[in-house]
Amino acid sequence: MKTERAIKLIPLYLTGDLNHKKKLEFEKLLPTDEKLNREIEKAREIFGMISSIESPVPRRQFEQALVRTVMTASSHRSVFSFKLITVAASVIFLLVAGFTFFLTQRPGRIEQTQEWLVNNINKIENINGYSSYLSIDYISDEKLQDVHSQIKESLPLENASLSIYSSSGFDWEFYLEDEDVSKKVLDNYL
Amino acid sequence: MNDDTLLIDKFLEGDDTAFEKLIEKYRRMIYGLSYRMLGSAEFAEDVTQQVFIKVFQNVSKFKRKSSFKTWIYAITMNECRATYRKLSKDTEASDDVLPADDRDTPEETYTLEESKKILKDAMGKLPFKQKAVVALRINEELSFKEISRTMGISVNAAKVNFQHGFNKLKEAIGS
Repeated sequence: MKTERAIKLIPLYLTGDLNHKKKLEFEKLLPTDEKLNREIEKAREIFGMISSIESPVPRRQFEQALVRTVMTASSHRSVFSFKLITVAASVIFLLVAGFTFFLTQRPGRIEQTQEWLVNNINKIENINGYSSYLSIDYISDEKLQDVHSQIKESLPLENASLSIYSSSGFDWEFYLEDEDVSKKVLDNYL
Repeated sequence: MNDDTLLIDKFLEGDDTAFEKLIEKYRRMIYGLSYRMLGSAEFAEDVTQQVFIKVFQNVSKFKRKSSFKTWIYAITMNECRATYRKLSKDTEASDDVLPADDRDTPEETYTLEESKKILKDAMGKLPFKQKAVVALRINEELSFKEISRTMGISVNAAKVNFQHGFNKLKEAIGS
């Protein structure tokens, strides 16, 4: 492992998250490589500084009101949500019926996927060169798997991994861990 | 069964005081993380409140595959991301969130406090995902596995974002 490459890996070395092989290669350089040792010292200082940057303590007034606000807002929302659920259930029923009809009546997997995505994806963000994701709110597991299969079958994804995550149960996200393929998906579908 | 799980069960059985205990336990953590992500006390308060409202309304859906802490962090990150997105479109507010760093001479020798200020500003300028991973790993001391669950990304993506984020901070401070 060359020094410059090792320098880039310092953050992971300091958190103890280098894999075994890289760690061994890294440690071979350590005793003698002055530049690397210097960089590690600098990085240690920065780690220390970041962890010592404190966030302010919340206002006492806010903390005191928090429980009451949350409880009150949640109870009100529950009533409201109940009404919403009734409306949403009807809408979902119509959508599912429409979608089933659409699937059985229209040929062409790509067109189906395209239309489905255009109608359902409401967020695109963070194309930063490592991954990008398309987030779809409130979608059932079955429907998600269905869309996942459709995308996989209809797109040139040989070089990219397509995964689905739910970070909280509220949002589902499709991860395409390849920038070019991500762009292609976006160009094709939106 | 850990404390959080017990409190959740009690709450689901109708004991509201159990939920109050969860709020007490996590409010500063959620506030601190939101503050680090958004750089504003006002927005951190809003996010903290929203997070607990969402937890209150959805705790019955918590599947317990991960820890409650990971789950509540994930909700916090979603709320921060939504706020961040909204604020990024709003020029006035984004000045609060992404403080401008007008120092362009990183070769200078800074005092510790100045360095901290530069780091804080540089953190504010990182892309959301990099900032989140750095904050979760260094400040909240989550493992990359926990971060991957919290952020809904792979462990490798978390590591890469951390590495790039940290190296940008290092550059900002002129190291």
